[in-house]
Amino acid sequence: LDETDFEIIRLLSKDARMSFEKMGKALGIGKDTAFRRFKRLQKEGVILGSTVVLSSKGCGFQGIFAAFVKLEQGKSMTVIQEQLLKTPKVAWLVRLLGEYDFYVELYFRDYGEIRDFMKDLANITGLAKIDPLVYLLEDWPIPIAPFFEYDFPDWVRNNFKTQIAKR
Amino acid sequence: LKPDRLDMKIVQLLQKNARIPFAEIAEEVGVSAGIVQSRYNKMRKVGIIKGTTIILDTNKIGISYYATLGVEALAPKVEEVISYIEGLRIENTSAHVWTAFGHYNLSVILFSKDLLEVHKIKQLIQNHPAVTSVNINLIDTPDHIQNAFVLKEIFME
Repeated sequence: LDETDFEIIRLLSKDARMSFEKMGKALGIGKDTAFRRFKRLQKEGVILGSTVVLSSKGCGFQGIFAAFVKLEQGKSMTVIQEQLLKTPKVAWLVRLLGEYDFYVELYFRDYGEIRDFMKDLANITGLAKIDPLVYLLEDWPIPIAPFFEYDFPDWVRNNFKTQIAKR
Repeated sequence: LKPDRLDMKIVQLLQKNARIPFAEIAEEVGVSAGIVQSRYNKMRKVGIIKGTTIILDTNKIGISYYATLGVEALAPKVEEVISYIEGLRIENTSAHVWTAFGHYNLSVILFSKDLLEVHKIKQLIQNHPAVTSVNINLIDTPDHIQNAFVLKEIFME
């Protein structure tokens, strides 16, 4: 992978539908080269797929209710993960290594939805601790898309330069 | 301006593959490509759709570790702590901060190439005089972090 690959990744992170022609023009390469490099990035598993980015505001969401969740001793993470994902409101879940076992997020339109979610959590046996957080954001991307929203930090770009140097 | 079933179908197909040609969506949902195009443009214009992006295996571009930090900071100094965290320049590591209400008043996401740098930045945050506690947890699905999404009922009834 070199800097041109990085630039392709950067452009597609902002606009996954970009044509190879436009991409080629932006990078000063031919559209066939752009296409070949894109295919290679897919083949090597760097680009896993693409998705549409929705606006929370456009979808009518008011904010994010999140919870750090810790399980009781001896409870299965797999079983509880399934139960958490079954609650109708969970928008995002990650497994954690540390004091907590899960971080879950619910996107809410009103407080009633937080109340319902807390009820759903209360019905799951084996949760030792639920530490809640509320974010009142005006608008956020769904799904969370850091490189759509912000640019890649310089150190990520530099990784591509170092790889060339090593060769 | 409420989205309808056709809009929803278009969005669902784009969620699976944002590069799908409009002609293919059209065939799938049984309308013309022009209608798909105009629905898409409308959803962008009214701000339901922000755009499109690719899903990356970030491990392969050198982002190997993700961590979430719950931070308690003294209420009057929260703004100061935010600028402090955002101003930290640690090699191969980035931090994003959000204010929150609840168990913590700041929530930080770190992503890094190197676990030692994650540790370093945690220590620096902890060392700030207005920070009373830091709870760090590594996210165990770093390379497919965006795949962990389960999104339901996006559209208002």
